[in-house]
Amino acid sequence: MSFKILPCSIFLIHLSIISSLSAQESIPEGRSNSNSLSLGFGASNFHLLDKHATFLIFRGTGISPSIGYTHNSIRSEHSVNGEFYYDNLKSSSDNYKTEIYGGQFRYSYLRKLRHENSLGSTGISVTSYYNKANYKFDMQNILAHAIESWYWCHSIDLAIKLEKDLGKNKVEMKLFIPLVSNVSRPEYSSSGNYDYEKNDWVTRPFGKTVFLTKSPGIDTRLKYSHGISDKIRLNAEYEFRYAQYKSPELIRFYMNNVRLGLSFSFNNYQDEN
Amino acid sequence: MSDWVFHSVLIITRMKISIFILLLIPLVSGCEKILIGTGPENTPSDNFNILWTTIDEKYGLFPVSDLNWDSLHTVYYSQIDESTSDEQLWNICSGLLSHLKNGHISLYNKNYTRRYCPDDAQPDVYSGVSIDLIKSKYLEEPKVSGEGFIVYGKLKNSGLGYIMISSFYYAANGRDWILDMDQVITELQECKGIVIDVRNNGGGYLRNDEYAASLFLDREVVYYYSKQKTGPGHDDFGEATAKTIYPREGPGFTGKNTVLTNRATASGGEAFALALGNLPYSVQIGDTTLGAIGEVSHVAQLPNGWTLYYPCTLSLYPDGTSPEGIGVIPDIVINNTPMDVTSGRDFVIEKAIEYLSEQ
Repeated sequence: MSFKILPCSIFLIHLSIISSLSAQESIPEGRSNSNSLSLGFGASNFHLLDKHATFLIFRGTGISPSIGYTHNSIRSEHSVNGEFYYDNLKSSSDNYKTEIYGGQFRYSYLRKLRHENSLGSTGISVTSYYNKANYKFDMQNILAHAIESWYWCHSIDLAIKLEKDLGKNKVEMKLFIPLVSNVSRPEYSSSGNYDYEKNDWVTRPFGKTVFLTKSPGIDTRLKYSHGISDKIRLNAEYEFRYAQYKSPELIRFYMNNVRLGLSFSFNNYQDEN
Repeated sequence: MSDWVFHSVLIITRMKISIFILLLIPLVSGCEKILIGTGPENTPSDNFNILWTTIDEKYGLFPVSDLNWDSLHTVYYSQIDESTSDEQLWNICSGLLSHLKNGHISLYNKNYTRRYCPDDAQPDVYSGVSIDLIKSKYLEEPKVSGEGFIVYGKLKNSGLGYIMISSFYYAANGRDWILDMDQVITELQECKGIVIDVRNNGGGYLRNDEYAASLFLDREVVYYYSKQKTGPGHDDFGEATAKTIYPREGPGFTGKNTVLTNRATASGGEAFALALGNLPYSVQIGDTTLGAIGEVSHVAQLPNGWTLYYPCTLSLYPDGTSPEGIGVIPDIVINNTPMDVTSGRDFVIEKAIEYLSEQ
């Protein structure tokens, strides 16, 4: 029961923030709304300990493209984002290699609070994050399968955004903390999800539903953007994600992703309010 | 309450952006030890402990052995210190694994040039079967199919067919060779009976041995039950799942047959014999199989690059006993020595021909 108190408390506090922000009159009216589409591409850095597969820690780098759509109105922001990555990981022994791939889709809704040139927003997001690791070993120059493992998490998150407008430039930080998650992991036995007909492991999209304390994680982004023109901005983004889950066996991982990209604004219009 | 929260958010928004950046720097710089922990080191003691712990938590056959695995840790770990050489560690790990007496356990060195298995069939067993002798002395027109895994033909002067399946592994070219069994069965359709030889067949893909067995079934067969590990305890298992094979539509042979086995018939080879052992028109002839039936789908990795294969399921008969470590016992026991083969006799095949001819 105590596990449920913390996320519930956070959620209630959060609701009060949203409601208080909704009640404020500090946002000037008549500002324009905007839609924007953003594309990014960059490097990914992954660190993984998954005891379902191995006791060894794997780490490595790869690529990470992204795509996003954002609708900004006077008091709120809706955004949908997709991010993907593919990393080649290595451990302390060079005959073990792991490739990990995956991505996430997120819808977030944020309520805004403006103060001078800074903007604070808070809200919720719904995220589906997936990664699948394919562990291999060098068997006399043939890379053989050792095991596959995955982490698939669908979550409702607390979302916070802090933004600073510097004229043509803008800096923003976003923070997402999963409050309730549904996490799918392989069964304890490595043959539990093995399909002997297909000679492959079968991933299950859904698993146990747990609260914050049983699936601690954080996803934070720091973004710097520079306006090239009225409609195009150049973006540089750093993303850090950490997650941990203990059932049936411990997995801990974190990612550092750095991306460069462009965002295009379109269909801007004046709000009637 | 809401005012207090509102002002807190305001304060945060007034903070300099640089503070946020400073907060993020430790994350960028990579705090693997803090965030993930420290992994095992490539030391003799860490390598040994991972090997021991992997078996302790994941091995599926403790319920059918009477080992005190904890005491074995004490015995073998005491032989290790930081000066233990690779060769000494190999011998210590092999010594530990030898107590498990299971043919599905294999330890490979980093280059995959050295292997230890606690229960390999002896070389003499393999030498008790000669495909050259079978081709030259017993078969009319021997044919090879299934990427070399299948040798078949009609047995001389008997009206019987013969099929040797030497493995259920995948072909080097990746081709689904087991489907060639359809053609083999079609060609032997007119035979009075078939001798199916899985001696020296060390198994392979479960799918392949189930496919081969399905060609000889006239009924649905539950050939064993499998239990999956559900936790690190030696008795943490889920419900038993029936391993079932169904008769195939299309080519098949449901006349009388014999299945030839020896001590080198292992894993999928044994599962094949188990499946056909459920049929009233099938008789197993030869020697008891190796006794390593559980599925091997886990490969554990040690920090020094050694690789450990081990079974992670428990195979059971319907009465709750297990063939693991015992093997599938034939209906008619007979065996060849290497000397028999050298002198041009395969008594096991001859017994099979005699048995089927009398039926």
